[in-house]
Amino acid sequence: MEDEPNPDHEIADLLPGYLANRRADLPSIHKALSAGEFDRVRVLAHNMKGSGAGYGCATLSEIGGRMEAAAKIGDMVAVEEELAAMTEWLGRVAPDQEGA
Amino acid sequence: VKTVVLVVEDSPEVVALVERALAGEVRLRVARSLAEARATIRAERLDLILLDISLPDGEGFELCGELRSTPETKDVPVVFLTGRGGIVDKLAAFSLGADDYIVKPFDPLELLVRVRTRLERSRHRDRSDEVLRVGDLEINVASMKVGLVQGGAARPILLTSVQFRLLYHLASHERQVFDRAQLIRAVWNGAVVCERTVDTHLSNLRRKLGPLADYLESVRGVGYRFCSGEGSRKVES
Repeated sequence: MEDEPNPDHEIADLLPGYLANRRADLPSIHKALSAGEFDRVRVLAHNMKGSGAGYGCATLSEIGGRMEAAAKIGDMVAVEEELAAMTEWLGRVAPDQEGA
Repeated sequence: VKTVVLVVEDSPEVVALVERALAGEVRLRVARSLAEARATIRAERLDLILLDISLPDGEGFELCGELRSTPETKDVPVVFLTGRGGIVDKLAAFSLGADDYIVKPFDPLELLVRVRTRLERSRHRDRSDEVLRVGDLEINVASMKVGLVQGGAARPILLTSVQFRLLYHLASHERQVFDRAQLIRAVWNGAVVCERTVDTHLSNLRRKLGPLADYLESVRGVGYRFCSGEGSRKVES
């Protein structure tokens, strides 16, 4: 698949930990969103945008960018859509990568 | 002494990427907030700062402004490394004196190359600013001029570029003895040069130094050394 993680070999060993941390972000984002804490969502999304592609996960950077923009304007529906995309992507690729 | 780079970044995952990108090139210091960064800057000489904008206790812009308005840190290269890619942020960074601006996510190789470039320019500038005073000699690296200091004024001594490099190399390593092969490597960059050529240039250099000719000492059976009897010191031009 085109959007599978594709890290440089120098950082491949860091990828499982990175993906695990993103999975841990999911309930945090859900919780922040439920509480209407859009700034918290924005920070998490911003960090994901900035780091994802560096770990070979360009899709996560893209999702992070869209989620950050949605959180900035308090667009809950758009944030939920990106959260669903993030959940789906992580569920699809993380198990393989962690076994690598 | 290894180059020291401070990365001001609150995301440990970005720090890990920076560490990998610059591994083996620099010694990395990490600050996760502006307060930590200020403490590190006060405590240590830094060669370059990688600076995020969005930090827990403020924005990197503040720190950049402080660095530029402080004499001790005004010349330390500052490279913004941030997820904020808008033109307003870029303009703000450069107007505050940033040397470069990298938007996250970044390519590790690009980061490495940009950091290297900044460090090389910084080193070159440091060298260019350098004026070496040894005894009654004043050697300006940027202008490649040499002066004989007498009564507070420097009388110029006209040297060829080879003579200048030879003099600078010896004077910047006062009292250290160099054999001819070492001087050829240092002055002629290892080009094929007859050792006798070194003697000829040394002889001409002594003649031009006039009353300071004795600064260039022959060490029998070995080579040459510079000895002003007073030691050298570097001053800003």
